Formats: sequence, structure tokens, C-alpha cells
Amino acid sequence: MRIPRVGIGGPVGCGKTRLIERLVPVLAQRGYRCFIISNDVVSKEDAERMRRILSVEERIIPEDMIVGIATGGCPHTAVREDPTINLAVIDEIERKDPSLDLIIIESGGDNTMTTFSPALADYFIYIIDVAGGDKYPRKRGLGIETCDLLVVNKVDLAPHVGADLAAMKRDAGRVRPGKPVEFVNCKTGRGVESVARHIIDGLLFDRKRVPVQKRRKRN
Amino acid sequence: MPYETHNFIRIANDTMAFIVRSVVGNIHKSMLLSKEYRKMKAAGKSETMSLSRADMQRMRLRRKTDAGSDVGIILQPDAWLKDGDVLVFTKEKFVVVRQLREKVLSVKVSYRDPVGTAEVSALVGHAIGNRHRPIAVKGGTITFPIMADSELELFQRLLPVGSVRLKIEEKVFQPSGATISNHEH
Repeated sequence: MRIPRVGIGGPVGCGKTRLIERLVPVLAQRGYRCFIISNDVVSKEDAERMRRILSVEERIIPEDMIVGIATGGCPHTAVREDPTINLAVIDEIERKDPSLDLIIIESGGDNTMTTFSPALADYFIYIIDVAGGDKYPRKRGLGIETCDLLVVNKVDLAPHVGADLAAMKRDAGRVRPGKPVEFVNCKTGRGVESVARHIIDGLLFDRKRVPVQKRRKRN
Repeated sequence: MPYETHNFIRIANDTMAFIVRSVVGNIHKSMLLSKEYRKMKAAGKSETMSLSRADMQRMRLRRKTDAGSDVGIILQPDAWLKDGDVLVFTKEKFVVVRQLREKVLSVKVSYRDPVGTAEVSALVGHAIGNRHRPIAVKGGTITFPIMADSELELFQRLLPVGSVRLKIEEKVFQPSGATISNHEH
């Protein structure tokens, strides 16, 4: 059984790790059990941070459900043209715990062209932040155009960097007609519920409608 | 003779969704399904799910048909959709997959001798390969997807223009060979 997988990609510093740290508690509250894979070039810093926050401090998921992969090269290579290392980790996860609801795969790098191999991810979130400039959506690129959900982070910084959020929304609608865009502030959690809703509807098909309390007892 | 290969789930906004776990067949390959499709279409009961090439390679996705039917697809690992696949076939509904056309650049190599043709073809392959595009090769023409018309200018500079003819087209693109992990940038 293939566990549903969401790929989260975007430029360095845009808030991929923070988005996951905000998303996982929201999904957990609805009864979804997640596993996290974090791809980085040489360090495993992001995975270690998520373990500290999600496992040690918030006790949302066990430490061994967060894995860091040091790709040794541009991380996008490990999620697109040769996802072997990620697939090997997922294979092990699926054998160990097939009852998991979702695998989250994080990967940075490669600016606007990041995409995930369909062999690896079933749903693709591309995240940018307003500090990169409000021109980002209209400059297009495979990541922005093909992702299932475009997330624009750090909306609180918009007035400080002169970013026009309305222009970003309009341009996103123009380059990816009919596809959603969400404006969030991962620092406060604003908008993260909507991102979770997209994952639940678009990828998980809302298959768990069990009341939260009942799910918690089972776990 | 409808096939009941799907089931229904009720989703959050209280509409009904089809969950398709395997395709019924393909109207381009099955004469029976092709005939049923024509009948259902004439009766106004056929719907189309239009998907991009990238979406066609997915094993799990949820999309709406042109008539608004909500369809979730969960295929077996290593299976992916093809143009003409039938997702739903009931007495009241026939949902067929259509791959969307996309912008491609076709490169026709025209050189006076075989050695020159081989050399030009190698240069063309090198230039396209450096951009990690999937290609389709047929009848001496190499075709690959582009994102914008502006890429024509780039390839006019990169390719030996006197030995190739370049043309932008909009068509359903099928790469030669298996390229599920294609790398485009």
C-alpha cells in the first residue's frame, strides 16, 4: 500500500521547515499520523530542529518519525531526476508502518524550477516568501506553475519590503489558472489551517472523518 | 454494460466523489469501450477529465471533470494514466481522460549528407539535454516541451540554424521511452 506523499519545495529560507512544524500539529489534531523526510545538501539541521520542536517540545510525533537526508548535491536532484535515496527511505517506512496517513518530503534549492518526481510525491506544495519580491509568481517557472498549491509565506513582512500581496495573488492566478494559492505567516500560524485543508481534500481525500477524540484514544 | 470499478465516498462539503482505483480500459485500445463511449456521448452522459502531462504521471490525484464531477484517483505503484483511459463507466456516467496539449518546439534536422546529419543531431541532442527536457523523436524530427515562445530565440542561438528547421506547436506530447522522473530546468 502506497502511503500518500506530499512534497514541499521552495527556495532556501522561504519557510519550508517552519510550514511543516505548523502543519503537522494541525494534521495530528485531525487524527492524521505523519512521517517527515527532510532533504538538505550536507547538514541535517532542519530535521534536528523539527525533532526538537515536534518531538521533544510539543510531543506531537516520535523522534524516529523524522528523518534527515544529506543529499550531497543540490537537493532537487534527490526529489526529481533521481529520487532513489528518498524512495529507499519510504520503502522502509511503508514496510515498518503501513498505517501511516502521510509522508511529508521537504526539499529546497533550485529556485523556481523545483518539482518532485511523480514517482516520489503525489501532491506538490511550492512555497515562496514575500521578501523574495512580489515579482516571484509572475516570473513563473516549473515549481510555481505546476505545483498543486502555491504558498506565499511571511505576509507580515509585506509592508516592510514593499511587496504587493494583491499583485502576487493576481499574478499567481494568471500563471496557474484554477489552481489555489494561500498566503500564510508560518511564524504565527496564520493560514496554515487552509494549507492543511488543501492536503486533506486534494491528497488524503478527507478519508478520516472520525471525531478527533476517538482517534486520540485509538492512538 | 457498465463496469462498476469505483466506489463512492462522502467528502467534507457534502458532495459525492468517485474514487477510482484502476482504469476500466482505454477507448483507443478497446473497440467495445470505444463503441460505448460514442453511445454515452450521444446520450450526453460522457464527461472528460483533462490532465496535463505531469498529472498523467501521477498515481494519486483529485480533479474535476468538465461537467464538474469530483474524481479521486488512487492507482497502483508504477501505473499511470494514458489518453483515452476510462475512469468511470456506469449507466449514467462515462468519464474519459484526455491529455492536454502543450507548447513544444520541433527541430527538423536537414543536412546534405549522413555524416553532417549525425553531427548536427548530436549538437541538437546536446543543447536539449543540457536543459534536461524530455524528447520525442519521430521521422527525423525531435520534439520537446517549452514553457514560453521566448525559448525559440534561445534555441535559435544554440542550434546550428542553417541545418535545422524550428517550429513552435501546441500538441499532446508523448516522450520517447519512459521519462517519469524527467528533469526540466
